[in-house]
Amino acid sequence: MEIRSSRIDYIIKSLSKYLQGKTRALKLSLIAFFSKGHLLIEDLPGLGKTTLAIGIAKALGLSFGRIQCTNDLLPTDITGLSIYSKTTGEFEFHPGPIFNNIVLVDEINRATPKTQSALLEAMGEEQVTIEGRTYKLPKPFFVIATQNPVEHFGTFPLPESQLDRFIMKISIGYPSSDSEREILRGGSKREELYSIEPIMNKDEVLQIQGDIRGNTYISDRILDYALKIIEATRSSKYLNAGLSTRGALALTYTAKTNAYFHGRDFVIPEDIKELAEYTIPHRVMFKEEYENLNKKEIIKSLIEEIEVPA
Amino acid sequence: MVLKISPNIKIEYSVKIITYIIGLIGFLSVFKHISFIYSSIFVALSFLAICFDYKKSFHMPRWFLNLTALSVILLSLFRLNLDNLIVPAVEGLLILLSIKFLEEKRFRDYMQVYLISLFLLSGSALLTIDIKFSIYFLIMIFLLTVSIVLLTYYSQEPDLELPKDTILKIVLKSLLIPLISMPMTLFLFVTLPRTSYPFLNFLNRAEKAKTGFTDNVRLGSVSDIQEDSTAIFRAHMEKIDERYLYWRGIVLDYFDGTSWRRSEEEISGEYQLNITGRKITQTVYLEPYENIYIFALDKPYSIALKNLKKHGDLTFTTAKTIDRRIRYEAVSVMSYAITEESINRDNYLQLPEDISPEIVKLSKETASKAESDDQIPIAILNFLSRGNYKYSLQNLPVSKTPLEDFLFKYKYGNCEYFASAMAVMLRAAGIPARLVGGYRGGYYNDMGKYYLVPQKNAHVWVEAYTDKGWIRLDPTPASIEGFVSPHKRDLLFKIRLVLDTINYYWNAFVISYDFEKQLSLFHKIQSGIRKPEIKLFINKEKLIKYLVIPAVLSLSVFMLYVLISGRKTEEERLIALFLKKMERHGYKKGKSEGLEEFVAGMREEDLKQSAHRFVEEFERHYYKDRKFTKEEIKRLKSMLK
Repeated sequence: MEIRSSRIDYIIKSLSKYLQGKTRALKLSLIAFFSKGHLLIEDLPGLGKTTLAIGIAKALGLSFGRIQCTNDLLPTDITGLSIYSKTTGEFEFHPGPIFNNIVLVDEINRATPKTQSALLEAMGEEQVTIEGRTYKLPKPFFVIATQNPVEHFGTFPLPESQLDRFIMKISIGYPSSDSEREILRGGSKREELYSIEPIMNKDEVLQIQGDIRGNTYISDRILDYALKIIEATRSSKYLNAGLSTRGALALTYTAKTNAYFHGRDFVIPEDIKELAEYTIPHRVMFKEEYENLNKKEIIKSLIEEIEVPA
Repeated sequence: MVLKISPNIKIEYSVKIITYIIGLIGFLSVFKHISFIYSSIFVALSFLAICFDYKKSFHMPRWFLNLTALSVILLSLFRLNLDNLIVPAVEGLLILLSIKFLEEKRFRDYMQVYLISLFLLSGSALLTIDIKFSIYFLIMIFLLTVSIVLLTYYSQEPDLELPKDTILKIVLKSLLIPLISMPMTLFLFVTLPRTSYPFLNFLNRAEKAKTGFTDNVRLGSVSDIQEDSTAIFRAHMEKIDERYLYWRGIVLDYFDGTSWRRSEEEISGEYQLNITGRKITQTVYLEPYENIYIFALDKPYSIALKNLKKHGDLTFTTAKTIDRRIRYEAVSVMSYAITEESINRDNYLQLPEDISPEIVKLSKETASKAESDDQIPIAILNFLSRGNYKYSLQNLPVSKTPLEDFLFKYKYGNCEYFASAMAVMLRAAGIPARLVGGYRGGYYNDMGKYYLVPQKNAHVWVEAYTDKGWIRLDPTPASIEGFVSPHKRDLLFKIRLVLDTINYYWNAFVISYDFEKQLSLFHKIQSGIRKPEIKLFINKEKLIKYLVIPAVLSLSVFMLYVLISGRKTEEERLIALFLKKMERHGYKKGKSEGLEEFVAGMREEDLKQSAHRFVEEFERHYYKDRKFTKEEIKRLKSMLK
């Protein structure tokens, strides 16, 4: 297996030009993408989520679709629907925006639960069923969903079980003042982003995804470590419910990708540790009295208690 | 109203006086063993120091004294060698002590003086085992205790003055401290193995060889013989007629013209010795003298000592040289002659081939004057001991033909000349003869009931084989007085005799409290402990119940523990090694910290890089569950160096 971590570094470097101050978010997004998971970004509007999504799509040479969620959004608005064609006299299927490699679902918490579950089902199954027919979604398939943490009126917060479907939850955060100055000076670079040459193609992306999933070695020692973390979340005094098995898988998948990004074909404890604050907090249920605490910090403190294999 | 009461004593003075006395004791204990120059330097400097202290006017600058002390130390180091370690060290210490005296003394200086004095005393213990040591030791311990107690007062308040009574009280109370510690000392005294050999004396081997007894009599090689009055042995026995005080040590039978030695072959294979007479039992305390011959009153019949070899000529040898004080019982028979059925006549008639014909002629002449053949030995004896020959230890003829020179030219010599001459003359006259070496006489100590035989009493006489057997003939004309009585019957000698008595008892009852006794005590204790075990052995079931089962159980528990607690794998050992090394650089890995995370936190770039290389290499195997090969472990270990 050829570890193409340098290619990934190059992507990150190239996109950083257009995404000032979002390198970390970009890297995390790529980890989620190459782990074959989906990403939830919880952040305020206007911090560059769309730019990030477009950038990833363009750099990887993938198609991009966008869904702006509102409370009157219907499932078919996402999946697409069959429309009667006068010329052929038949119903023709018109695929929705979900039939893209990278789909940005903006403000997912504003969609109705029905629409949400349709979307999440598509994310989970990588296929949609419309009017009895099943359509495969393109590969690779990556959903970046965003949600606004502040507005609560007219929103339908995703239930924990649904959140579990996202491999990571990140936030972009405000850019540093230096980066922001750059943005103000140069204006939005979204237009330029549309015109960049892809760095990878679909085949290469799939190849890398396959390598990460299949050829990155994860030792029993690391699995023991991961199990210890899972057990710690399940028995923690701060939490009502710990990690699910899917959550545990998220730990190992993202760890593998992280290892690959570091140029390794094996996982070390740091690969899990580094990402724990993005992979764990949205999957566990905090006890009410701790809801207001910084959840990332609580998870970090949990992990600090766990001994690494070496 | 402040009134000075006159009997007040300044504590400083008492401390100073005691300090000087302590130094003096240290000096006295080693005085005998060191060279005169050092003693005089010490005395002179100490005197100077006392003057300074008395007048309180002047003190040597400290830097000068320190410099001198340093050079003295260097000088002593220079003089040290493996053969002679202790004496130069002691001499150096002595000079250091006198330099310390010269200093304006503060608390630590006093302590240093005490320490050096103690070292000197210990040094004396290395040089000799003597009852005097214990006396010095006791005095010093008492003085040190008193002095240190007074010194504590002094260090608190240098100008403190105390009434005489108070000081006396302090002194008396301080004396209690060593007294209380005595029982403990007594305990150690009984339990610790004691030695009859000065500790570490091997460091001091080069001590001048003692003059006195030798195992080969060499004529004409030295012109002067120093008298050595140190004791060679002490024999506890009844007092006997001084004329019979011959202590037999060695028999010499081969003469090569200048020296006598013992021929190699066993002198008589089957010896039918027959000696009759009064039996005298002696307990001999023999000093170490680096030879193998055992002395006993002539004629020794049996000697009780381990590994002793009895020879046909009634001499006894040990297997090893006597390098420590030994004690043995000897039974001697006061017999006129040693009857022996047959002797190897050729051996005892041997003469050097180049023997001077004049000696042969003289022998024949002398023999012919005898009335009968029996009288020949007596004639020769008379010729030598009652003739013109004088006894002397000085200006001995040094020549290649010493015997000839002695008989015809100088006509004086020591016992070796007389005995050699006589033996040769006897042989020339056809009478088998041999030389016997040992000691003559000794001072009888009435208090201790023992003979003290000094080295200077070393003597050689002749045994001639007549029809009565071997008879003893001593041609040396020296008066018996010289061997039996001290030269000076003065007070000093009497004191020395008393001291020797104490020394004798010390040796007999303290030092010679021998190993066997300690061993038997040990055995007694051991057998006392063993008794319950014996019962267990009788009852096999009980043995199994109480011993085997618990043993097996505890062993298996131990094994289980070892298995469960897990032996460290090679990887674990490697990483432990790495972490230990990093810890030495000041980095300690937290238990939840990953290796790379740990290394990334390092600040020194070099260390970080090399640590990172190691970690990468290690993780490549560890986290891929690959077994380390021996080479890899070797390489990783080399990375840690």
